[in-house]
Amino acid sequence: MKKAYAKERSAVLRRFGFWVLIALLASGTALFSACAGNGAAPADEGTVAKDEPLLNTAKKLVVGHNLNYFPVIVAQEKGFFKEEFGDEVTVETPRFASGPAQNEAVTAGQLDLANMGDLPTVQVWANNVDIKVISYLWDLPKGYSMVAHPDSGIETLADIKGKRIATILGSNHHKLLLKFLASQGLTPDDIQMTNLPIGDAVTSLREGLIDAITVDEPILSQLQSDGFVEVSTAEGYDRIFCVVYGRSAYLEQNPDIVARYLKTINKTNKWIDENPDEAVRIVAEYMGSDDLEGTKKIYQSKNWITGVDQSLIDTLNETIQFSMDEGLITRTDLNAEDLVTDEYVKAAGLQ
Amino acid sequence: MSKFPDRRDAFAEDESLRHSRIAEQIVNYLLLIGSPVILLAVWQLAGDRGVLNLSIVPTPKTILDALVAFTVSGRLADYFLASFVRVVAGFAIGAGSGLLIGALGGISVKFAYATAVVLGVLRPIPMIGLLPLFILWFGIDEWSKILVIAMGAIWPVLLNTEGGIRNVDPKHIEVARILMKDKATVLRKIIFPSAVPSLLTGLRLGFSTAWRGIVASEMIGASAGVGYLISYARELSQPAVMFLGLFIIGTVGILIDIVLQRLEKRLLRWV
Repeated sequence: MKKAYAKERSAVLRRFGFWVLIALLASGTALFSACAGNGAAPADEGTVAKDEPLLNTAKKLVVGHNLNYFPVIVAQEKGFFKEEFGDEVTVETPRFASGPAQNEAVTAGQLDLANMGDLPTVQVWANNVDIKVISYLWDLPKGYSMVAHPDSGIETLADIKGKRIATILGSNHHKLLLKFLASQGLTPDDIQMTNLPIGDAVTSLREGLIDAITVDEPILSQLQSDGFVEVSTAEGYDRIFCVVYGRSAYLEQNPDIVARYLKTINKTNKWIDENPDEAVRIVAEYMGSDDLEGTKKIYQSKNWITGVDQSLIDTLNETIQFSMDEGLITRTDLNAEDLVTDEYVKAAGLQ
Repeated sequence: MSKFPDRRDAFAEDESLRHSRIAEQIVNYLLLIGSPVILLAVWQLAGDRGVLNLSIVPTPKTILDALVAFTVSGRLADYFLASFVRVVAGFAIGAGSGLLIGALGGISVKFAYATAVVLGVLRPIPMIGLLPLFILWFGIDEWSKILVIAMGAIWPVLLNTEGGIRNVDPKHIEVARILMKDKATVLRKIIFPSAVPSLLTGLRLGFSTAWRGIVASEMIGASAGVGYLISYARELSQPAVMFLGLFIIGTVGILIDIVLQRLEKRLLRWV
C-alpha cells in the first residue's frame, strides 16, 4: 500500500516538474521574442567594422513627415535629394497623419528622421527612444487658433468650460488646447476632450457635434469665412514650431548623410522662396488638393528654417516641464540640453 | 475466519488515491498561479537587466505604477464605467437583434434563405471597419460606439440561436405531432426550451465579443473609456498605459466569462 502511494506521488511530482519546465520554456520563448524585438534591424544604419568605425555606409534614409511639410515634399518631388545623393543613398519620405504616428514608426526603427512638433518629440524621448533634435523645420508666428461653432456659446476662452472640444492627442493641437485650458485655470476634466483626426474634427464641428477645435491654416481661414468663430490665436499662449529629429543610432553612424540632408532642406527652402507658386503647385498636387490658395496659406503661415539655437532648447525645456505638470510624461530627469545637438547643422555649414 | 470480507486493504487503497488526488489538485493550483507569476518575474528581470526594449515592452512594475496612478486619480473607475455602460447597451441591442433574427431564421426556412446573402456579407466585416461609417451616419456621440459594439455582439447570438432551434431533436417534434400539438405549443414547449443551452452559449460569447469591441468603438471620437485610454496612450507614446488598458480588457473579459459560465450552468441545471 505504501509502495502504491509512493509510486503515485512520484508520478505526480514528475508531472509537476514537466509543467514547470513547460512554463519556463514558454517564458524563455517570450523573452527571446522580446529580445528579438529589441534588436530588430532598423531601416538601415549601415555596417560598422569591429576595429574601425565605418561611417556613412547607409544606403537608405527614411524621413517621415506630416501633411503639407513643404521642404520635404518639394525636395523629393523636384529631385533635390536625388541630385544630392545620386545612387549612393535612396531617400524615402513616407507621409503620416500626425507626429504621434511618426513616433510609432521611429520606435519600431522604421524611420531614421522625423519632422514633428515639440510635444510629440518630447513624448517619444520620454519613452526612452534614443533620439536627437538636429534642426528646426518651421517656426510659426501665426496661424494656429481655436475655432468654435457659432451656436456653441463660445466667444472667448472663458466660455470653454464644459464644452466638447476635439483635438489630436499628443500633437501641437493638443498642447495648445492644454495651454488654453491652463490659462483659464481649467484641466481636461473640465471639458469633454475628444480625440479626432483633423478631417473628422472639422466635419464634426460643421455638423455641430462638437463645440470647438484647434486648427491651423488653411482650415482656419476656411472656417472663418464660413462664419465660425475664432476664439483665440496661439499668440501669448504657446510657441508653435516643428523640429527635425533623428534616431541616435542612425545619426551617429551616418553624420555626413544627415548633414547633407539638412543642406538639401535648406537649399529647398531657398528655392521655394524664389519659386513660391511652383512650390505651391507641387505640394497641392502631392496632397491631391486643387486648393492652391489654401496650400499657399499653409506655406505663408510658417517660417521654414533650418538650424538650432538656445531658444529651441529653452522652449523644449518648457514643453518638458509643461508635460510633467499635465501628467503627460512621468520622467523627471529630462533636459533639452541632452536632446538638442547643433553638430549636424554645423557640419552642413548652416551655422 | 470472518465471514465478512477484509476491507482494510481496500480502504487503505482508497485513502492513498484520495491523497494523490489532493496532491494533483494542489499541483494544478500551483501551476495556475505559479505560471503567470514566473512569467511576470522573468519579464521584470529581463526589463531590469536591459534585455528588453522598454520603449515597446515596459516592465510589469511600470504597468503596475500606471495602474496605481490611474486608480488613485479616479480616472480608471470613470473610464471603466464609461466602457461598461457602452458594452451593456451595445450588447442589449446586439443580443436582442440576434435573438430575433436567429429565432426567425431557425423557425422559418424561407426567412433564412431570404436573409442568407445579406447576413453572410455583413458577418465577416470587423467592428473596426464599421466605425468610420457609423461616425458618418450617427456622429461621434455614444450611438456610433454602441452600435459598433452591437454589431459585434449580434453574430454569436444569432448563429447560436438559429443553430439551437434547427438542431432540436426531431423525435421530440415527431412526438408532439403525434400528440397533435399546435405549432405555438411545439415552439413554446419543445423548440425554445431545447434551444436554450445553445442560446445561452451565444449570449455568453456575444457579451465577450461586445466587451472586446470597446477598443475599436472608442478609437475615434471618444473622451473616456478603456479603449480611449489605449488610444490616448498610443498617441502619447506611453506603452505602460497601453499595456494597462489591454490588461484591464483581458482581466475583465475573463472574469465576465467565468461569471457568465457559472450563470449558464445554474440556469441549465435541468438539462
